[in-house]
Amino acid sequence: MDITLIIGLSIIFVAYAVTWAFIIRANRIINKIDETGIRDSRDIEKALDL
Amino acid sequence: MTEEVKTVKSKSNDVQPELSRELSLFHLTMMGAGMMIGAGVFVATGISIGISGSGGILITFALNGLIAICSAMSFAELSSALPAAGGAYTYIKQSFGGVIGFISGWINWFALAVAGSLYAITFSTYTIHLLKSWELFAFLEQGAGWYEKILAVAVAIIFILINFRGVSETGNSASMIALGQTVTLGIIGIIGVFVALRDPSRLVNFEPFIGSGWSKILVTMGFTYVGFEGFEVIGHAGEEAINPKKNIPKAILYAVIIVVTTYLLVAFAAVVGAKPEGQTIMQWFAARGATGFADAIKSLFPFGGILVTLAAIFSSTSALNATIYSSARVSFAMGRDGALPPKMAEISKKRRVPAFALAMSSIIIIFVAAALPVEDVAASADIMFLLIFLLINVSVIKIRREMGDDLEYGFMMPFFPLIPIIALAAQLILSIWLFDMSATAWIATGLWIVSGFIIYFTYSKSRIKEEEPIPIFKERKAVSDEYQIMVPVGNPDNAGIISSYACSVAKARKADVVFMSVVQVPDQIPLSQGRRFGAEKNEMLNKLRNNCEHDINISNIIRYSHNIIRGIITATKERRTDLVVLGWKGYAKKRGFELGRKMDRVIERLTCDLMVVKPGKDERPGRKINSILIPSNAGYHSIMATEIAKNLIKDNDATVTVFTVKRKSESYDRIRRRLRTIINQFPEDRARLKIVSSDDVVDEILYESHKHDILILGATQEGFLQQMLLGKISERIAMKCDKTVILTKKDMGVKSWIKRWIGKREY
Repeated sequence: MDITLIIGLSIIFVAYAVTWAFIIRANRIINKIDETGIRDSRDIEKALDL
Repeated sequence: MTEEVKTVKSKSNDVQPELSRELSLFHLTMMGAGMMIGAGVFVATGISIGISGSGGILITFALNGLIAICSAMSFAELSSALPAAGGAYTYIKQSFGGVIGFISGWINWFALAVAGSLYAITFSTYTIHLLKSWELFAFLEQGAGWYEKILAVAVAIIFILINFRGVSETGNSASMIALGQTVTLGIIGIIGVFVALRDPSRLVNFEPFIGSGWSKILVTMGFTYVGFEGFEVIGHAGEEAINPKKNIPKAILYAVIIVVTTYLLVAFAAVVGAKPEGQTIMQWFAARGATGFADAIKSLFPFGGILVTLAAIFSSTSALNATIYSSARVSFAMGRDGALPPKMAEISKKRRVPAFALAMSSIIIIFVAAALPVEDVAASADIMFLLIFLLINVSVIKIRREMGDDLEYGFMMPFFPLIPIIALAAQLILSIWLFDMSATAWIATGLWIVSGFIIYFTYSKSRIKEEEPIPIFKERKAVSDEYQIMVPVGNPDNAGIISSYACSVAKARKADVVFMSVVQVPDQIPLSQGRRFGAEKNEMLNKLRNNCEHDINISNIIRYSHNIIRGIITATKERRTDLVVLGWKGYAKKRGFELGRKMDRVIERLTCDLMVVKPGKDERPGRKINSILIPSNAGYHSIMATEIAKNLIKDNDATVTVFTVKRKSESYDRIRRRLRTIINQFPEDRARLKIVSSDDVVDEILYESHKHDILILGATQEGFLQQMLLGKISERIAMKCDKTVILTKKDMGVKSWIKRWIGKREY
């Protein structure tokens, strides 16, 4: 199998998966901030372990 | 969830100005996705496959998606912490100020205008491509692209003129257009996957996977980046968003993932659809340029070419419109800050649009569309947006480090500051690599930036105002436990009469009353800037409150909205209004509307009880009512009419006649039994029942109405549509009657599943 195909497909899948992972993580952070009502940056960093 | 209304501080305590928060998570997400899809994908996909090959385009979109999500997180963090009418310019200015702040606005203005030129060119390219397929327009093959240029300029002028008139599409219509184009592209992509599964021989188009080296992927990543910008428009809508701290960052992130997924699917479909026949896939796409994408989809399924061409035409016009007013907004904001001449911040009296700012943006859009080839225009827009997002990624680090403790965040990105650093490094590399694609684009960008520096140091530096404090939107509880009556008033001629009836009902129900006037603000300026309008409404609203003799709690509001109908609807929802009292002039201007276009739309979307007052010829505010007529057939909405009549007789010492027209087949006893429930609602000495036998219900009621002071009608139930709106008989009576007519409609709590789904209540 062409090596460029393997590398290319790996890049595509990893990039797309990381994009999704960021979305899911970010979504959780937004929901958590909304639920807890914590707005202060230091408290958010502590509470969400950013 | 906390019920909150955004209010702005008022100099006067009498009338509370407030901004209408109308955009839900769905609206915001679609607004961003619509701007991103815009037109970039239609133009850039084919050209990019021609440069980096079939696998290269998929890698391009996947990596660009990753960079875009990193930048989107930066933008989301900034917009959640600074939820005013923000955009890239606002955030960078707050972070850096001075010359960098100015240059960011200068670039942002140009980038949006150039994107507008790109969308105009996309429209013309795809329209000419469509016309060429018909023999009648075969002459378009000649002309060396002149027809495209002429059409691009023409369509830009048309949309500029539309913007000058203050007309635009936002909210629901824009969201539906964006949803339509996303779904269309998604379907095309899914068809591509399906075709590849059924006919795996088409996958041969992916050989070789990387066409002409990995470095070309960097070029196409930069070139297609214009398709990954656009989510910043969500930040512009900060002051119009419902629950902005949560919804704006979410919408930005959702828009990116929707777009990345769609692009990957359509790029796959384009490669699978192409039939090179003797050429390599790259040669095939390179020969077709901007329309290669449509040609590839054409051979994927019947009418595929037409479908994608129409999608490109619709998407480009929608994006063109949005970029025209967005670019005008940026130059308007710069004018307001003193960074550009104050004329930029002037608003025309007639149309209330920033006419000069629009004119300046229009010159750039038209000039670039006419002067540069599509590749250079796209590359120019790419470089500008890459530079803007680069500055955004620096700003997010600077703002969190320097101002973070003073801000209230709705979102904070993880892996800080690694994510913005990766994003800005990638954007720097991509923008430099674009020199390989278009030196002209870099020259144009360089000239623009240099001219910006010259303007800053010769003009703006001494005039620019000190950094404005972030507008503070005071949060307050707007919902009380009392019964809430809202009276939207627009026409001062009948406002007194409407408010008088509303106050009578409020007194009987021990309700709170809100007199509200909605000021329409054109899309071309931010809502907060609408405060310069509507001063005359203060006087009207205060007069209404002072004229009310009853001891009831009255609030006066001026609500600023881009759309009067949405302004009223969202206000009733935010306040959990129980009853809305509207005035009606008594006729509909256009056929096909029951009470008038705006009125019908308000009624259709209200989720509370409704009372529409049409003043009679002898009506005047505070008039004593001696006799009330309730034409009724004991239908569902008669309950509401009865309730209103009960409220009015308390205040007026009036009598009530419940009137019905008997059909020949019905017996008197049956009707009496049916109407007993209504009669029993009133004191025995105040109410009587009158039954007449006739075939003409409307004429009988109109004849009887002459003997009474007012008519109170419940909506009739004449079928599905009439159950949702006011019935036809009620409307005919109301139109013809000389006396004051009150139409009532009880909220049935029924909404279509589509509306429930789209219009999710989030207050």
